[in-house]
Amino acid sequence: MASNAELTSQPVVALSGLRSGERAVITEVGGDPSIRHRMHLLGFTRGREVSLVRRAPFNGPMVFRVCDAEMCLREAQARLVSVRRLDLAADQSAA
Amino acid sequence: MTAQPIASGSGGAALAERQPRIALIGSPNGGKTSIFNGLTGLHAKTGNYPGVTVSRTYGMCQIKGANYNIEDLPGCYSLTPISPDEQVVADLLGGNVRGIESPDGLLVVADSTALRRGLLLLAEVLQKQIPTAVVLTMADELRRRGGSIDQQALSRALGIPVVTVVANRGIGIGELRHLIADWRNWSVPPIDPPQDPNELAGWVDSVLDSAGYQVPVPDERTLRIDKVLLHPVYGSIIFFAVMFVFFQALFTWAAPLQDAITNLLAMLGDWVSSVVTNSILSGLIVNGVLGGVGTVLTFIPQIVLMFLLLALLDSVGYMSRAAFLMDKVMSKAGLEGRAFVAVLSSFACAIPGVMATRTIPSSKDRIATMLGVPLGTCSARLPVYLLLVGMLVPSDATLGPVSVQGIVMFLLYLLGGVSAMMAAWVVKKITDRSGNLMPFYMEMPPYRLPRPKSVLLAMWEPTKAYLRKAGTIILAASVIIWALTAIPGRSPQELEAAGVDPTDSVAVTSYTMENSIAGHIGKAIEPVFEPLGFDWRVNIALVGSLVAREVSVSTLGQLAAASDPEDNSQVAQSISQWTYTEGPHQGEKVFTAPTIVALMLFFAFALQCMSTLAVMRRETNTWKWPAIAFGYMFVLAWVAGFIGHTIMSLFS
Repeated sequence: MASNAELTSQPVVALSGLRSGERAVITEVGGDPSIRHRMHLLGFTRGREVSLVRRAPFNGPMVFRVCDAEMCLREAQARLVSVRRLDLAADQSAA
Repeated sequence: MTAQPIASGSGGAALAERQPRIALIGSPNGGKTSIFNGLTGLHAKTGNYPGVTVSRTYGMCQIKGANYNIEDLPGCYSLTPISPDEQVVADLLGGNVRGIESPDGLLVVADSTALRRGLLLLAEVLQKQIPTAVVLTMADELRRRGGSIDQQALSRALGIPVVTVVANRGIGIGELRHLIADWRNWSVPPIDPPQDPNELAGWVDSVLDSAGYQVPVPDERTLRIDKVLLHPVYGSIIFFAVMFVFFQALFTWAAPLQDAITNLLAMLGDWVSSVVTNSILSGLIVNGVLGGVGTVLTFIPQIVLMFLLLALLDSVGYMSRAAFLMDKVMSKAGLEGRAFVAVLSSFACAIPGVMATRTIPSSKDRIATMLGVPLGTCSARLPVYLLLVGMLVPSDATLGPVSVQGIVMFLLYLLGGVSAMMAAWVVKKITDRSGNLMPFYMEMPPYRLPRPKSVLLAMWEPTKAYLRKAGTIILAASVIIWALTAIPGRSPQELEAAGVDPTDSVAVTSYTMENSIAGHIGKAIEPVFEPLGFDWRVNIALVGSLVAREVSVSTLGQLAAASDPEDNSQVAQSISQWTYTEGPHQGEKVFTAPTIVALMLFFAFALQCMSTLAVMRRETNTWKWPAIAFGYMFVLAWVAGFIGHTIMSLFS
């Protein structure tokens, strides 16, 4: 489950750049130490899979699926997380 | 703390006598509240942690004859604080909170459908080296969604006891109570999970593997419902419909109950007046005490209804969806989506609005919202607005197809809404000077059927808190304000000497009020309100409005000796004939357009409602914030009234 990073060759993008339904793997969590720690405890750690469930209109908050639950973040927080989109081929093997 | 099989928290004297303290820790939507309710039932209390605006929920649980102190810590995802609210939890666990000992045992309540995240918090708890046990919740949902876990294997992997509870079917509560009674045998956790987040993720995975954890599939029902409820078009429509119903409940549905209460107390009052001959005593009982009780009770239907709806919407899971849809708009005022309900409530009445701020996690946001909410055009302002608009604008004046009176009322509503949001924005700016921007995150839990017991308890507890703390303040204030307008009482000789017929109760009331303490206050504060065009009689009405804004209308009526002070048109007729009795404008009409506009604007912005102040005191546990609210809104009201008066004078 951790280390799916090898399964994808996509470039690193911000979590806020995902489109609805897209799955990705987290490569890094940025921001100051207290924010980073909070994101980790919400389930956003390197190697974890994350997907964008939906996005509110007019650049509102975004709902992500991570660690088997749905968590809503504002764009500013989502921008701090770097991800690689999962290749379609890797989709089949990811749990 | 050194690792020992039995630990007693700080200050462990007389173990046998002191009640063991167990704290519940867990994420906000993980079923922790149901567990707490299941253990404490009606024996729960709320208050505040000392010195902060963070609410504290705790209660007593009796197991096999022994009493246990159960503390329901605020829902959290981490024990490492990023806000003052969370700092309190961290302090409490470290035994650093004045007057509250640290817990003897920690019960981690974990949602079994979200264990991969739940174990992260558990890892932080294990590092505290306090005896810990785990309660797994939502086990029925886990099974329904194709997941499973071996409870014993999990317990072995963690080295601490694990029980499973299905709260809505009462399964496992007995086992949990046994576990609590056995708290001395909860070992201090033998395992120290890794601190590095990546290693920690690996640790969580390996623990779940050895516990045979089967991940549940995403909840089909939730996905289907969210497709509609969070659809940009349909979702918004449904959202407005839900909010409309919510608002109607507070604005309209509560009214019959409120009327019933008022009528009942009026009948009681009539009976008391007929029995008690001393007019001062009967006045005290009927107008002061019963009037005060009436004021306290009239808010109950709105509070109960609001918390019923909030509890239903929240436990079903819709509140986070509503907050998701409103977050963008609320962020313009420096707030977040969850503040919307509080602002909406304030259009019915500020009291449920202030209490609704409990749904907002951040205490800074709560205060900012609380200080802005009283500006919302509440229903108590309506009688005053109707009276003044009726005097300002002829009822047949139209602008095209729309009546001008209607336009002015609409503008007043708009003014309330906009100024409430702006005030919250300003307060947030001021209190956020440290620039420490809190990250926004909010869980979207699966839709779940609400538990009737939890919903009822969620309604009961705030009502109890309101009655006990706010209710006493409101009652006391009612008696005092009544006294200001009715004392000193006048004997028939005094009345006749002043040319007032002692049998004409309308004239007697008018005379007594004019020469009461409030009358003296009204004359004394004339210089303050003179630039707004108010004379001393309007000032008496302002004193009366402290009880409730609509009282100012009947006070004006009583002063003007109108035969029916409850009839707007009669009151309007009487008071429009008033002329200034002294001063530079002696002889001129009081209620000119500038004065009317100034009074309207004053009522729009001033926080006269001492019931609101009482509830603010209850919710923030201090007089500081109600005082600030009263102060800033008074200044705002005065300035607005002055500007209104000045501008309208230019037109006259």
